Amino acid sequence: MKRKMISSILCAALAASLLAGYGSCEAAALDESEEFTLRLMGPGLLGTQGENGALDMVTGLETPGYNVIIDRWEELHPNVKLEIENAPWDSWQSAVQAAVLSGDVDVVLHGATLTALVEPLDEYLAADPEYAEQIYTTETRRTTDINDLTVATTTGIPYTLSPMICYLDKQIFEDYGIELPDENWTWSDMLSLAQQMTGTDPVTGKQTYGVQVDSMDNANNAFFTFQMVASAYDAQIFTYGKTVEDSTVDYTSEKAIKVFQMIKDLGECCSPTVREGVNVAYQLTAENDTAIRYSQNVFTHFNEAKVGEVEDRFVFMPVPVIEEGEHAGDPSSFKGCNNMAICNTSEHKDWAWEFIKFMSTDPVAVQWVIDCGQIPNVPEGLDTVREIMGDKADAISRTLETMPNEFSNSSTAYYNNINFGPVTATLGSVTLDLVKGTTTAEEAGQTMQTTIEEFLASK
Amino acid sequence: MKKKLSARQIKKQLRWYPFLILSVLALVLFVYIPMGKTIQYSLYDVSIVGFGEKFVGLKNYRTIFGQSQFVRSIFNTFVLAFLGLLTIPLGFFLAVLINGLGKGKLQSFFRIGFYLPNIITGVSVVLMFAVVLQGNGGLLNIFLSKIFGREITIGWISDARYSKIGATILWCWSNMGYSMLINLASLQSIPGELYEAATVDGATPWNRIRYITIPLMRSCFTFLLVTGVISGLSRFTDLYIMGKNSAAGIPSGTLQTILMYIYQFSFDVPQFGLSCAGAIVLFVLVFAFTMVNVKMTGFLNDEEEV
Repeated sequence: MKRKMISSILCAALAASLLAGYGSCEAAALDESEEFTLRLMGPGLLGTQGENGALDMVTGLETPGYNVIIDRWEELHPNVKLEIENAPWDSWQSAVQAAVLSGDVDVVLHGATLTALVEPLDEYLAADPEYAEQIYTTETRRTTDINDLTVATTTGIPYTLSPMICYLDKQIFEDYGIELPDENWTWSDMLSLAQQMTGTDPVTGKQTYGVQVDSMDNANNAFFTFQMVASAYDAQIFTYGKTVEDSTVDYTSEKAIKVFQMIKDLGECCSPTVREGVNVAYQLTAENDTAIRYSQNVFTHFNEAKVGEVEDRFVFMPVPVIEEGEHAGDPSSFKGCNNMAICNTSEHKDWAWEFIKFMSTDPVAVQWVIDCGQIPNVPEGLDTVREIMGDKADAISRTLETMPNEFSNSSTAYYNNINFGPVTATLGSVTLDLVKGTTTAEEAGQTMQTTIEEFLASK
Repeated sequence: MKKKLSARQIKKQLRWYPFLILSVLALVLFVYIPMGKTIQYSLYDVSIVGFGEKFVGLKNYRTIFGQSQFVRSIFNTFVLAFLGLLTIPLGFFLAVLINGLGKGKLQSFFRIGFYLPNIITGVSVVLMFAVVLQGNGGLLNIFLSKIFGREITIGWISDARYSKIGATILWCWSNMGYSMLINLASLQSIPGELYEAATVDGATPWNRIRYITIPLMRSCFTFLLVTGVISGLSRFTDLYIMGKNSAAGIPSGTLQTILMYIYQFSFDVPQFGLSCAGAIVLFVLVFAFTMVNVKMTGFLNDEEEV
């Protein structure tokens, strides 16, 4: 009895000390009496919106500025002022590096990729499991700056998500007498449909095109299609070892060539402007001539269609499914984002983490993201999006709920833009060539392989 | 024997030194120190400046010369620079035509008209030429189709086989006005008596150009050659935008110049050691080429004579 009693007292003391410790840690981390300025630096939505908001020239919609965020934050934490410095997308990495070197940054906007400059966030997430449950996804990277390459480290948290979604023109499908596919369609299905609808529309007599391969006017984003098709075929390009030297890259495997061939075949169903990448139109309008499009910015496309009163003409659908591997059956989507990271030279890391949590989950911040025409990183936010978009939001929710976490970043087995040199630029270049039809799948694979091997020779 | 300066004279001269010091300081701070840093970083492995540079000796140079991408960018740079020199004969041809109009409003009109492209922002020119040179419905193709009586759909900037020609058309259009203006100024400085004497001697118009105009404009051509090669070797903006905002030299790397390679390894894939090595190679090439030019054409001698 005595032993039991002593044990109970000791347990209570231990629990109390742990709680006190936790409490004191929290209190020390977030000292509400300390007055200072939290500095945010980098590119992305906050900078694009500016302090007082912006006007979308296509849809005519006015969107709010980041003063909404500042007001809300300072209402919650009056002792911590916010200072937001935008870095234009052109050469943003060097701008952020310079700012970090000067020691003036706490939160790096879009900093998940700058692995040498940011804090690993896995411990923060582990200490905050409720928050981890609240959000759809994190940004992870494989980097020797933090871990070895076999480990995917969380380096950023998105506050907006841009999943790749397909937009199917019901009218063109009907004119050709073709049924709309269901959500379990494959890339081969997409190709087959695109081939059938490239030609003269039997009803209107106008030229139509089967598909629009995304981002053909922006070489930096042209890799999206490769990443998606590669994940669908489970064409693993990168096999990670502990270091770059231990890792292997294979763009010439049978599966990789199959991916390149798919891009080339899809290219044959694109309009000449898309194939050439000049004057490419993305808007969903009444003059649409392409049966299947896919791109990010789903909210923007919805608004365009609504302004043009053609929202009923377009069906929003997840991209084709993954056919092989552990994620078979889920959409092979790619997802862009605006993310935030904690600068590793910051003196206010806990406050930086607090801001990241605030920006991704606070109701006012989430509403601000939606008002800016973006998808927030929390399911509650998607409910609001559904109120606006109706059942068109189903494609978004299915994509976000099923897409593997690591598909949102640059550290998969299908794509890596951090460790292996000019992957993005070269993949963009060969994708443009494939869509235009000026190279073969085998040549594309060889070009990628050579470029990366030559880069790795410098390591 | 040097004349000794009096204290008053020295004091008088000293007042100018602050002005000199300021410009020397600016030169050192903004030119020589960055140059020195570039040389230094070319010998280091640098992913992020200020975060653990590692000395690697000449490895960066070995690496870039082992990359087919870099070697190709040297080739592209020189081909594009030499093709860009077409602005000199084109500018000369225009200058002769405009000069033939005699001094007056008509000449001023054409002089300004042909120089206008020079003052348009490079980005606007490229965006405009993207429409002119596109394969499908591009203005140039429509024009050629009318002339040849069959449909021509050459992607002048999107097809790797023609991209250098397309890039040269754009370059010539943008820079021909400047070349014309320099040529015209030089042309108008030739004494009219020489032509009159030649005409009296029975020289044909072609002979007057061949034996009077061209020899007397040698220094003008040399100036345009040297400056044209230097600016041609540092082409970037137009090719970057034509390549859909990529430094990869799209299409197929055919338009990647050394400067674009440097940009790629500075900002797309931060490997400052490689980009600095590329910058030093570009500097050496431009310097050597300029020296050869100056030596062969006697450009500086002419300047001294003047």
